Amino acid sequence: MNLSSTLFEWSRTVTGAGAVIDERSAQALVRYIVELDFGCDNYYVETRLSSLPQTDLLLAFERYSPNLTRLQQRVRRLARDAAPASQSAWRTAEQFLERWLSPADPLHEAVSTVWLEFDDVLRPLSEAAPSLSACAVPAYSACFEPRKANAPAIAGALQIAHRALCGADGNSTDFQRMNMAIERLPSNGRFIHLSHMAARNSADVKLYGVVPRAEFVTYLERIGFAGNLARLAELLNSLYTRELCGEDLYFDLNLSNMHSPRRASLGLAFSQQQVVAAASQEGDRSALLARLRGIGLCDAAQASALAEWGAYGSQSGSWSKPWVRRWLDLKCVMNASGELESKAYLGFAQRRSPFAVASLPHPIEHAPP
Amino acid sequence: MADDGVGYYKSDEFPLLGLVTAVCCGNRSERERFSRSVDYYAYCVARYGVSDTQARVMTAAAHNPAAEDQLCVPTHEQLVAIVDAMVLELTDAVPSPVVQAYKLDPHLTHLFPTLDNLYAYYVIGTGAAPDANWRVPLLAEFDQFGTFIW
Repeated sequence: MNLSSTLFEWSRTVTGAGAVIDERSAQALVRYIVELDFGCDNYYVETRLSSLPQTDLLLAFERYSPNLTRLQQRVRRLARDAAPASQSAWRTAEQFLERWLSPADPLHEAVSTVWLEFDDVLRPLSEAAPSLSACAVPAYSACFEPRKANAPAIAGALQIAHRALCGADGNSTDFQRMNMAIERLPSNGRFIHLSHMAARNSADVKLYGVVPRAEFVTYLERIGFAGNLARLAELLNSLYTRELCGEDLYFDLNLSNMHSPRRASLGLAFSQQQVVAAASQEGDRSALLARLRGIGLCDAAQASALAEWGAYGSQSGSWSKPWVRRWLDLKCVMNASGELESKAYLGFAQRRSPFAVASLPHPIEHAPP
Repeated sequence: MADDGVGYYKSDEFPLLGLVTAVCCGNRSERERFSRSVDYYAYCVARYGVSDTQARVMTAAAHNPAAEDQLCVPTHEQLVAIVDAMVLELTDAVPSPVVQAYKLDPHLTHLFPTLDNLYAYYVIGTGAAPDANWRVPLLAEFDQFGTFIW
């Protein structure tokens, strides 16, 4: 099985796919996956839809994923050979994994899933470095109601993860802001994962979480978010509507700039939990894509290709490659002046199922009537 | 451990729930009995006492095109059929009195919280009553197996 070739094939054959991932980026993605050689079977390709194109690669590892030893060995090797400019980020990743994969270390229990993100795959891997995200919700990939997760346990896990990701003590600004943001959450809000963009010059630290719609704006006011709340309130009625998002709003809070009126940004995600919760189970996100297209955040070709990516596997007769699962996430980032940038996340993974049965022999044919 | 041919998680009242729980969250030896079966249908019927219809739903993936790894992973529609068969079995069902049961794999019950709750409530007799719309999260648990970030 070759997951990366599936992506390449899609980019070449589906109408409009070139407007999402051009051929050069698709080739670069395949090269990254091969050269990293992490043994990963769960990826995202992140691509910008409404601004200067850039394609990023994310790799997901769960605490009990296969191949974690291989991941650790490869990261050690890449950290050792890294260019000077990217050595620090590689060392952070190496040290984080060292601890996470030690069952006796508190980080092992605290973090259920880790994502490694590589920005701009057109850069050679020798110049690249990973940024890490750590998930504090247990078994997140099976958790469609994170608001029911144990709040004190998540808070403790995020503190452990922050220290491991950022190497900071309890006095750092980001750490204090994180604790404040957690303490001021409404009782039915939760944070889910923490990201440290170590490979970026900004080295931003971000928290991803969920808050009920009715409390979203007041919560952001309560934590002193300096972004454009008037614009946000407008978006809740025009783009992040009940119809498209339901009652839970998923957001990415940038701790590093949240108190700066000139820089405060906010990520607004259209999450998988919302897809599952919606009665329509609309995996292709066609209604959302139509809305984004209507306000100029993607074009017709992108919308068509992305809907095809998201629909794969959710319609009868589309199982030409049943061992590959694909899904589509979308996110908009609102900058301090209220402008939006849209991004698509093309998820793909090796399908696994406890119900998988070996193809040969064909037991059902020998079954009694 | 001696084996008398009876599934560790077998339930006379809820045979499909017992079988699905064994396959998804059972201890390693019980799961391997399923995954290494040469005759899945016989495993389902003989070891867990499910009906012919239920056994066919559980083994329908054998009809899928062979994958490169020689496993047939159920399609979404086939998983829907399994969940719907469970809904049929549990509609208007009365939970069992408290019984002793084999321990489930704690790492796997984390991945199947709705299924874990159904088994605890109906078969073991100790769990909380499941949400009325448990079909939706259960299908998501069976069908996710992709680690989404958002």
